Amino acid sequence: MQHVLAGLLTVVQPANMLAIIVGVFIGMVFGMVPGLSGVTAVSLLVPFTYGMSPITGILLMVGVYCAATYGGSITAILFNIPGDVMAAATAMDGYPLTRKGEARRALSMAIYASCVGGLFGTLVLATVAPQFVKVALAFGSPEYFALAVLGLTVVASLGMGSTLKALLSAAFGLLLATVGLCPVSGVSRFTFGQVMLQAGISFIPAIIGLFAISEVLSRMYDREIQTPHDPEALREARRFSVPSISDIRHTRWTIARSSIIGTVVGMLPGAGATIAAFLGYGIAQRSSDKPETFGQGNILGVAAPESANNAAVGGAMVPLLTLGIPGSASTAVILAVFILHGLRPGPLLFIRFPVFTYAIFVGMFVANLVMLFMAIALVRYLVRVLVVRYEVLSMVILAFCIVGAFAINNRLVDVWVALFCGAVGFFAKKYGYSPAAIVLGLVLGPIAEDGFINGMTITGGDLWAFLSRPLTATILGLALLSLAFPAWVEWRRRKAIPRRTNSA
Amino acid sequence: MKLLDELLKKCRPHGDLLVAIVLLFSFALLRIFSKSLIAAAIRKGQWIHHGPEFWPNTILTFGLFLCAILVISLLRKPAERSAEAEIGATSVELMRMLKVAIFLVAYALAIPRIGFIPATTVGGVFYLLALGERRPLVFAGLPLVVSVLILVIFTRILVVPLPRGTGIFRLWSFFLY
Repeated sequence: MQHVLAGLLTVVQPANMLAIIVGVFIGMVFGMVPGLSGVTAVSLLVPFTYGMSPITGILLMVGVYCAATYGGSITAILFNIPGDVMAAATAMDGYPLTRKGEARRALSMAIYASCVGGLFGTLVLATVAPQFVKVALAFGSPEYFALAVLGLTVVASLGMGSTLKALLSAAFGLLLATVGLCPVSGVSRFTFGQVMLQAGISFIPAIIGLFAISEVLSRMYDREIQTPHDPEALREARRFSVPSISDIRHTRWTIARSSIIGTVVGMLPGAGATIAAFLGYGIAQRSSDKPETFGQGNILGVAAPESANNAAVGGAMVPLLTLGIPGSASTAVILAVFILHGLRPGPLLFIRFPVFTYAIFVGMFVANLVMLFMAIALVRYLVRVLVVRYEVLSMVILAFCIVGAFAINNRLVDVWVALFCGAVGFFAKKYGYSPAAIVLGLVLGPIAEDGFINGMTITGGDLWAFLSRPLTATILGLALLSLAFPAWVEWRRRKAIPRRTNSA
Repeated sequence: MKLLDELLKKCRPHGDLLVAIVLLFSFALLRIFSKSLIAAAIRKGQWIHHGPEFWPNTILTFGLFLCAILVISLLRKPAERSAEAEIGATSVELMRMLKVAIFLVAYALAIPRIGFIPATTVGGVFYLLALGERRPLVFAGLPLVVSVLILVIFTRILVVPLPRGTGIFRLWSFFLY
């Protein structure tokens, strides 16, 4: 309890509170505008954390992460254009509510559900993480290798689209991670004689390229470059308010269930808020008395995905803080901030810096509350950003992308890395590959390689000895299951189609 | 432009296959030449279990295997791919995207030569004009505001040494940061 109080005292310091407020504001704007995202926001903000203390920098990131997850729902509800893919499920019922003239009701429910989901996820994080640390202390190199494999297989199997392409994306990310000096032997690999490449490919410039630059390129290649804003919906947003008591009562069990789903899904390395949102929506529909009303403006269809995707934020912080393994692109950037400030997330962080870790928990709690009040007060003004021409907005984004990529290590080669990854990200998005899997491959690559090579040394080169360790075997089994299960479902589905056709 | 539109329409159905083939060749070439690309100075038997080439080679073999499956599966489903041909970007969107891509490369090339601030200010004006912005306050004012913002945040607050360029640009930059 004294750690919680000490964490609270850290968070309420003016600089830290300001970081949370600024982070929530930026996160909300980036989450809301289609073509920007939470990952873009956190990656562009990394250089800004240089001048801050480690906790202030992390709290800024946490504020952005929490608010960006919610921000996407605003445009999803008002214009049927999710600001971020995480809000795609919210659009399914949010937009029909706007069409019915109930945009205000949908918007207030979205922020309420997001706040409750976010608070629940944070509570679980604060309760589970310290317990999980005890298990994590028993982890050795083979277990870390197995966890990296699990992260990559989960992102591939649960990704939206082709599993094969997602796996290929992960392999591409793993390959990018091998550029530079080998972490075990110090031998240079794939540097093509370039001294600048010996330090490897930094993942912040790569993330800036894969998520921000590629997004601008994709948007420029899009026929509908401007966000089509309906003036009527914008007028509705000006009268933003709190949800009614009857709506709160009606949605309470859906929000509770979706928050649990979101937290659990968020904890899986590789899964994330998008999957949590769709799962929350799907289960809410299946357990509803009137499933046919979903998709036509059911308020439960807004409450379920919003509470699930915000709860996933707390869940996603569990593997990051306890094991140092990021489960999503945003948490990968947060990991980079830890490393930039000389900290390494993992079990030892809890033992050496307990106040620091509890300040993060309290900070996330506060960020969700700030998000609630800021949404009620500011959404009416924030939506005006949507009338700015995207060409104009893109100039500002690209300038910050380039300076952000450069400022990480003060190297121009990082600018070229960002541009290369921007081109890769553009083609990846266009042809159904997964930029998130590329990032996870890039981040988890060194962890997997270190774990594997060190594990082989421990076991005397015996690969089967990996499986004799119960934890490693369990995690690798889960990884196999995460790949096999969707394949089995797909096989069953394909088998059922001809049968149905024959019977018809 | 009409010709480009026709070409885009014709090529679009094969885009997926083309990307898969490029990936296949990239993985194959890297796998073939991995020995020379991963320091040739490694002595045989130097490493007890696995040398520095083991991990990249495993990934390359895995990637190669996945690419092969993808190419085969795409070759077996030509009908699904052709359906995409009717929708998608036209030459207008392609040119707009290419303008941005060219700007980015030119911007990255200009930074070490003329410095960050002139590159951002001048480049920003050209960028906005090229994308059809005709309001003088926006196309001239916004790049200037962004440059000042970057200057203040990065050189004053974060103390990041932004590139100064060469020659006269370098001398001039000392007046600013």
